[in-house]
Amino acid sequence: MPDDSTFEPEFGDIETMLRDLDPTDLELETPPDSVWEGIAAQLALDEPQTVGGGATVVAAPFGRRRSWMLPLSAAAAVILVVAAGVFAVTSSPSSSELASADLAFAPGFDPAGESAAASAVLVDDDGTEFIRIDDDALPFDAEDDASLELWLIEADADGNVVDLVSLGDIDPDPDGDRTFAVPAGYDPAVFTVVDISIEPHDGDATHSGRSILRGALA
Amino acid sequence: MPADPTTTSESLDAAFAAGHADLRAVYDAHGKLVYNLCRRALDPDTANDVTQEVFVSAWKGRGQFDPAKGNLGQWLVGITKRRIIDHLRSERRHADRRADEDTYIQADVHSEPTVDRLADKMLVANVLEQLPDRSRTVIHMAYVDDLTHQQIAEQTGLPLGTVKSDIRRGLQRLRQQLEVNHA
Repeated sequence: MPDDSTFEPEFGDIETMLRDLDPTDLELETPPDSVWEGIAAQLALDEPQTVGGGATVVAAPFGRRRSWMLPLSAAAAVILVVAAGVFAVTSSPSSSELASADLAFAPGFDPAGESAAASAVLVDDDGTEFIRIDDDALPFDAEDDASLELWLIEADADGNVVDLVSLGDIDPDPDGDRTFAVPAGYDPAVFTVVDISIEPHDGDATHSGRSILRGALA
Repeated sequence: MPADPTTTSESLDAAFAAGHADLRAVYDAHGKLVYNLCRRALDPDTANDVTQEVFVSAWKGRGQFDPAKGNLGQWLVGITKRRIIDHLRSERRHADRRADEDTYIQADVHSEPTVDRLADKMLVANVLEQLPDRSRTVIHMAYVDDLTHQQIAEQTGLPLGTVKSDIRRGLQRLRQQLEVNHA
């Protein structure tokens, strides 16, 4: 290699990476249209749609799910069976509390949740299921122009989010109602993970990605 | 300067970090990078699926993106690498039921560095593709075809000084886009 064809050391790393390229590495293909269509379809599924007084409407029949999610159904079935077992043990005529979850902060969450705490209880009230948030120490003042929102998440065996649904904003008033109806079509035996996130008031109804607390119903 | 790809991608990164970006714009800017990395590590159907998974999970987890730690393309490539490795491991777990243990262990040792190297190549190829035509051509001739600057000047008819300054500008752009990964 003659001296005049290198700019070392200023660009040493970049030049090494360039020399590592084969001509075929530079033949970049455009992804098929179906890839974007799949992304758009899947994210539309995750957006809770609100009508009237803010009741959450579920517009996600399972048949509309992407085909790539099918392998996850085995994991979901395991969760279903385990959860169903727990429900069978914990539910009795004298108790309407079906399951509960301690919600905890984890690395990668929004720092606002670092000293937060709460627990969630799945309650059956005459055939209608609710999530109740108890014993909460929640950072309602962590950010201006933002709310804390409650979600139910379906996770695969590795803990990745498969699907999720919003149960609504948590009322900052300590005496406010902390009970949230589980939307029809979302079985808490499948959507087992309770999540609380910070949601800026930015007009975007999807999860902000900024979870503060999370826990699995059991 | 809307024609400058650096300016455009930086403002897209900022919009994404602030939660205001349109996912379609993010996909238009980085879909090819993610898809081509997947295509080189996975079979075509799985590559489509993983590309889709990457953008869905990036969108859901966009609050985790920190522009101070690297640009959006690098962040997406990080997610893509993890997803590819997850898929390769899961395929191996299935294959393991049929294969002997030695093959399994060996494959596990080699997969992650291979995916890292592929990711580096795709990041470079992707930035290279966005360079102005002349800069891209001379960089290709200098580093992929291994020609000297003098040979490039002779073949392109460009003055030697122009060849050198085109290459230097191209390298600067590449470094700017890749520096966080390799600082």
